[in-house]
Amino acid sequence: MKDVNKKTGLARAKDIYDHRNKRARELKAEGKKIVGYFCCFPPVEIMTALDFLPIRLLGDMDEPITVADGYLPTVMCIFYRSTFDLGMKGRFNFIDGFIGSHACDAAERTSYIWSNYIKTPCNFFLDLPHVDKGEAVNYFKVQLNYLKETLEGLAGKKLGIEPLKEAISLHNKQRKLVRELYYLRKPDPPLINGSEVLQVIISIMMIPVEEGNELLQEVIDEVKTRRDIPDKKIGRLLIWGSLIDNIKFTDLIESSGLNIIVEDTATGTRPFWHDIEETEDPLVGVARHYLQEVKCPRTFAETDTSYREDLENRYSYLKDFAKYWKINGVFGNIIRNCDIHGYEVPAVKDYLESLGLPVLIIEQDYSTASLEPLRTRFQAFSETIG
Amino acid sequence: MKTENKKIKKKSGKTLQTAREAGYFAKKMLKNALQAQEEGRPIGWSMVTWWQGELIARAIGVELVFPENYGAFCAATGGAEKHLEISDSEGYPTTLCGYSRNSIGYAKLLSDNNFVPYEGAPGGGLAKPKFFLAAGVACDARYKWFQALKRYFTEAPVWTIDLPMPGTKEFFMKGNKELSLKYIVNHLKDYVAFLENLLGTKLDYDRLDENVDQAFKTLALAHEVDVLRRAVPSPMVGADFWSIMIPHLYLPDDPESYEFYEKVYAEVKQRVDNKIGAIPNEKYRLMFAELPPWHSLGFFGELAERFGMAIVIESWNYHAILPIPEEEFEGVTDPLEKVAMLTYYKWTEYNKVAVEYDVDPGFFMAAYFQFAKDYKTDGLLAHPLMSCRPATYTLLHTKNTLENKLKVPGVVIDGDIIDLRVFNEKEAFSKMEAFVETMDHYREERKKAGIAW
Amino acid sequence: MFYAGLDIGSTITKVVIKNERKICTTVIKPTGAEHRRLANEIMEEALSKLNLSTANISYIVATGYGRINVPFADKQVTEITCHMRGINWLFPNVKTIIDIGGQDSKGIKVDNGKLVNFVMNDKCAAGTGRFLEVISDVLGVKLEDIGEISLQSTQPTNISSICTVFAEQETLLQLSKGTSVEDILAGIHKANASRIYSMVKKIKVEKDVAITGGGAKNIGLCRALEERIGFPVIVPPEPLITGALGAALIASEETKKIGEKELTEKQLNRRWEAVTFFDEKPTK
Repeated sequence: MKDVNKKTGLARAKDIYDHRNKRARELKAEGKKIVGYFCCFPPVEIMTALDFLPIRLLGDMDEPITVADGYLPTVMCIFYRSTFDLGMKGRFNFIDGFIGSHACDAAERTSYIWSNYIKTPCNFFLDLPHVDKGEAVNYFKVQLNYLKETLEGLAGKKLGIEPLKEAISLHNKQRKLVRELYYLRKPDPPLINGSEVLQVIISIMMIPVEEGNELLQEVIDEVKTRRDIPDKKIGRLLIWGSLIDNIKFTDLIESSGLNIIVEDTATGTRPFWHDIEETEDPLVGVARHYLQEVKCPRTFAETDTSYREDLENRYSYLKDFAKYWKINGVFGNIIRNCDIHGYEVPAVKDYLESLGLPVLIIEQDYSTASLEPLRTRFQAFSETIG
Repeated sequence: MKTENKKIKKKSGKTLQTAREAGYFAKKMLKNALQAQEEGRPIGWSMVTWWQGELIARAIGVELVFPENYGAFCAATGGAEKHLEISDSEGYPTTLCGYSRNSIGYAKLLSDNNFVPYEGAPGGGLAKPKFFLAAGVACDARYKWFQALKRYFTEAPVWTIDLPMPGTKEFFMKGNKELSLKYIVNHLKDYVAFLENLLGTKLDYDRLDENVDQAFKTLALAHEVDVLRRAVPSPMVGADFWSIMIPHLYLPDDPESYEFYEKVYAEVKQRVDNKIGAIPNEKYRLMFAELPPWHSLGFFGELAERFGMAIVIESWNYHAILPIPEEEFEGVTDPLEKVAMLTYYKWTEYNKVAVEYDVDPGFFMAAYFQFAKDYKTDGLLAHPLMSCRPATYTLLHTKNTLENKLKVPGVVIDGDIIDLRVFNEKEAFSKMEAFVETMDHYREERKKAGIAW
Repeated sequence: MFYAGLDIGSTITKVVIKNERKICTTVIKPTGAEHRRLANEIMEEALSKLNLSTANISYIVATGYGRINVPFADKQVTEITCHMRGINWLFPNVKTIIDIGGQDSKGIKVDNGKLVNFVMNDKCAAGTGRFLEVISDVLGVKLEDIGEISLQSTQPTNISSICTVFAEQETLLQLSKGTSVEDILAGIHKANASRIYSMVKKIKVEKDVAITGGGAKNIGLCRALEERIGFPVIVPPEPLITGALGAALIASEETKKIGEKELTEKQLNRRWEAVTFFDEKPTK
């Protein structure tokens, strides 16, 4: 029987977003094991298939970084510094497994330092090649096998092919539902705002995949028929770059004359835009997907071509996004010290400006305390669009 | 001896005769590049790839130049600031690797000047490259940087030579090493195909095999020198090493490098046999991590004079590889396989030590545990660099763990690879003076814990 | 009809009241700590100079750092757009504006009266007025004199431009070596200009170039910038009011967009109270 007091849809997403470890702790009390992972490369399908709850480990823009100083340098990605800081403060003390990954330098080194100082019953470092052609997929598949072995140890059982295929199917369904949600942002004004979408995306990274799919469907149904849609604004914004995981940031952007329409980030389209191909050996499809289809500049795109062709090769999907969602401005979000996106700035600007899109680049300090000074920049940017 | 009012002398800190002669190899590299340019032979801009990229490139007749070095050179000669300003105004964040920003600024000037080095370019500038050899190992900047340079060299391809970087525990999982080596060999085959296509010539595998064997010989000898350095008093210091490392890091396949190391070995052995220390009053034996302040090597000469401190071992990443057991080479005939082993084993060589001390990662870190024991060290001088994250990330962690597990203390002195003012010599000396007491204290602690050397 | 533009900067607040044809009055006052209360007071002062009351102002636009805290403003627009509009009205050929404030500096690109690009530095003191303030403190010279003094130098000292703290140290070192104050100041202005130029270059410096903000009143800085840029720059006669002027211009535009009835309604419903920290009852 449905609990009439239980929140649904957007209200539920907000609730989960506000108390993002609550569901994990509940399930843990019921005997489920929780696995925390870094960035969007460790395959959640493997974790789901072994009956774990995968939790995306994020930082907290509201929390001043106080403990990390004794372990990590200050001049490094502030997001991972924050995540480590939270780990040391016990924010994730309920996880049974920790999966670090070679998503980028910061993720890599923080993974190591994490395992040294924050003890979890099980930990694994997932190496990821920087290139994605040729044998790299095979190498990555080999590493995924070792990840699987390690998690099997934690689960106390072997991973069968059927459970893995089923998990892939469920997570692919989630991807499809996320895309469906995003399509609701096509109208002008969009039917759902950036902060609301962020709450949904963060939520589904903190709860089991089936519950996430249920939540997504609720939200889609609710949004399709809602009356209280966002205001029409001058700017229809695409966000490219480092992730955003706090709605105070999206609120600030959307109160400056801009509607956030699509996010090309690790808490936006990147984990959800392509489905895993259902191959006979499921790990092949998984390896290919995570290495070749999760679009992040950390993966080196071969450049045996001219500069123009290289830009097209790296960024043409942005042209498709801009066209489909009728984008008229791009915000390049760089968390300070992010090399992966930092080196891209002039190139991505070149490309986007060649499409006639104005670009606002901001290097920010991943802290809600330093958000307000950014308001003027966003407002001025909306004034350049309109 | 009154040291308070003494002005800081600008000595080089070198104590070996051969260290003073090693500059020849740096000049040789530049000369080779200029010659290649004159003869119309192709030049590549390369990162240090720990031999895999360099050995193959040279075997197929490409001359490589290293913009990382060029960054250090520009910094030391005051020519960097102009380049940095340009990089900033091109929109690159100021937090990026200092060497890359220097090279970006230089690249723009080169490109704007029809690919002729501008007048007054430090050291005559770097010639236009035919391709870029980027590296996936060690840090992200090492491939993102060259990818960014394509903006100025619009037709030059960028090849990224990657390397598996497993965790220490993962490295030992059954079959991982072998499968990784297989992957590397295939990856190197792609690199060879790329070069052959670019240059319109085939790789002579016999020539490569010769070069690889020569490289192994040189590196083995360089390692022997490292072993000699374990002697007390230390026959050779950091400032010497940072000079003589050039031939084994960049040109191990050059027979002249091997000859040079024979001289180095002889000089160092002579000191060891006669118990001659590199510095007159060795009181404290220090490790140094990781990249040295190239512009202020005299600092270490001053440390020796004031406090009797000798840097007896340093900079894990620059050292020759630990010898690979003969069994590993059984049945190995493909020079690409030897090359794969060379680079992969270098990056995983201290993983056993890492497991022993239950630390991660093996690279940049675990070596110092072995060093501490082998070289009977009293302390670690950790040198975080503002714009070089890979050489900085694990320094605090290394310091913490050395102190906890081996009772070897550390001192932190900040610097930067391109902004030389971050290194404050006056402050550094105060810290080192205080560190003397810390080291004395921990000597006692080690004795008490029964782990003294 | 009268229009008002209110620019509440971090250090200085300015008001411009204009009619269709010209600027009628301006007021410039230090912002101080309580800018919320000051907005009221400064408006009243400007109005009294013209013998007007609040009812005579058709439209009010607020800009600047404190623009959010002006309850009687009809619209808020960023200082970037406002500076651009102000300069565009005064000098229609200007394509690049360099605004140098006490706490930040900006580069603004204009094309046909439209804002096309901008760049801001509000993170690092070395490219702002603060840099000069720190050094003038160290040298014991009044901030308003440093520009003139620097022009007397024949041999500017080389000062690093990267960081205010380093520049401060260098200044002390130079003083101890006996370097003249004018040479040091010339070097300091060069360094400041270099940092600012580096930032503005990101949006491409095109003729004509205008300098606004407090920094524009410093003739040494203007000269140093001209040297870096390579051609002369325009300095408006009163560089502090360009933001408020732009705001007033936008105010006048806005009235043409809305009907008579709506305009009257706005004027009647305007809250002429000072916003306090505790949102108490209005103080008027």
